[in-house]
Amino acid sequence: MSVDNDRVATGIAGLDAILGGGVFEGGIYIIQGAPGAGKTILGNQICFAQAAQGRNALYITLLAESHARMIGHMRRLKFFDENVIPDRMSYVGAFKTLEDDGLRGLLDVVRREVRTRKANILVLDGLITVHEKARTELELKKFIHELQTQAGFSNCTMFLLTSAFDADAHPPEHTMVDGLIELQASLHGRRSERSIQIHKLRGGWFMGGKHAYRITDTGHAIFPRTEALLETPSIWDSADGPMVPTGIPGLDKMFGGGIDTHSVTVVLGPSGSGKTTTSLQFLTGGPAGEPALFFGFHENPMALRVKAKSLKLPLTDNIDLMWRPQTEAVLDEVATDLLGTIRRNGVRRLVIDGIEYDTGNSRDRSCGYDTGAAAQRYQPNWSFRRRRKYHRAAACSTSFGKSSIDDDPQISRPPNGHEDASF
Amino acid sequence: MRTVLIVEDEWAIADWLEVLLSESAFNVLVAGNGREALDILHRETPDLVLTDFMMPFVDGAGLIAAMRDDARLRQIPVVVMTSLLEQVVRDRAGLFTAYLRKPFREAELMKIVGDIFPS
Repeated sequence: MSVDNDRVATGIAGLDAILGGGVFEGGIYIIQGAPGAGKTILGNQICFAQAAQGRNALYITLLAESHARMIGHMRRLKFFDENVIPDRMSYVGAFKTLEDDGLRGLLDVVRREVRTRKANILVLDGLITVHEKARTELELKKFIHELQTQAGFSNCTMFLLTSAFDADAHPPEHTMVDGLIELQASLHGRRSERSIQIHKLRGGWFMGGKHAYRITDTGHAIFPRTEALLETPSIWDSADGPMVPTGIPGLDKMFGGGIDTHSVTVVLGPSGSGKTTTSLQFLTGGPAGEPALFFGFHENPMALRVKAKSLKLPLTDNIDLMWRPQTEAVLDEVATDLLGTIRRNGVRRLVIDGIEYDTGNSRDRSCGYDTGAAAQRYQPNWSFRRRRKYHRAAACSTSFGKSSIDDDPQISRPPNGHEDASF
Repeated sequence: MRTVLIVEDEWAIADWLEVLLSESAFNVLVAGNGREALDILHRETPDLVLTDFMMPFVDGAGLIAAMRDDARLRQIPVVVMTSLLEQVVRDRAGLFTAYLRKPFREAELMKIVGDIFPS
């Protein structure tokens, strides 16, 4: 991944990550998505982020909701700042001009307003209306071309919002603009998941594929696909170093002193076989004060503390407990949280409880190492299998993953039992 | 019959105000922005101006300033209709007759109009 110096960060961290640092100054970009996808919020969020940096943003609406309603909705979001309106962020309606004077009139509004307000960022909300107003495809192309010229001359980066999208139709404006960003929603069972995809970014690298996002009270929270984000490891694997004690002397003996440093080990077994107990022993089995983390989807921290206490395993302050209920969470959001905590705390021992966790779309994800049929094959035995690490996610730590379900073609039963320690 | 000039860049709001005030026995003029409003004010002298604040070409502050510079227009009451806070508008536009925060109800508008034209 390369980062270009002439990029303008949108100010939305996840979006800038998948854009490879941001869009290009003076470029023109389409943001499209079905009604309710969050285009208006994204457009406003970009404008307010720019205004917060002292830049000038202009939001022009065509056939969209009224400014009063829009501002009323935006006021509920944390990025909204009344103080920057109207000096650094202003709203202008141009539908009447478009109606009366056509595309030429709209271009005139854009030109004058960008110049008068010294706008660095422009959002034009309602490109579909321009589409409908254009009498011919050529007229639409000329409009986009002139807008592009204006954007270049004024060094104003423009975002055009539209709900129109037919992936097979390739509207003429798609070939002309500098970038195309699509907001989508898809169903996984009964659950809806939002995703954002960059289809095009002229002149620069971007992270392809779909990335999850949520709309929260802080606006769009975008989570780049973890496996794409960590495609290039920052640290190469190294199993050199002292063996890491598991906290269970008998197990360490069977492993020849412990498990490899910087390794990932999967703990398989049916409910009640002692996976959580083993994990707690691993977490508490390190040197005093060594940062450790239990990240789970099932048992909450209080339940874990009770269990640890009954086992006389002290969960001291260096052992952090993170719990994410297995409800509507987004896989990459979970990964972002997990990696953030690992980096922040300098975690050296990590347990992930419940890597069978299924977001509904995990089948098309390559981030996992999954445990499936293996668990079934090994039942009712409780098995440990030593594996080399696969994830950069755990590059700084030695980790355990615990699983009890699913099927996994990657894990095959060894020809003999020597590689596995079963008890 | 009194004349009201509506200055509003959002066509749906301008349309609604035009219908509402016409039904209330006003003669209504409509401008899509401050520049169009000044064109109308060159030839007309309305009894009231209802204006939006953020508009293309000439905004509410520019319109009010131009009206205050013209002896013929200076006395016309101006109502600013906007989503912005009143103080923000006062800091930029100086004197105007009344402030109406968007979104507003019909009754709020008619009360202000009634206060300006008590008869």
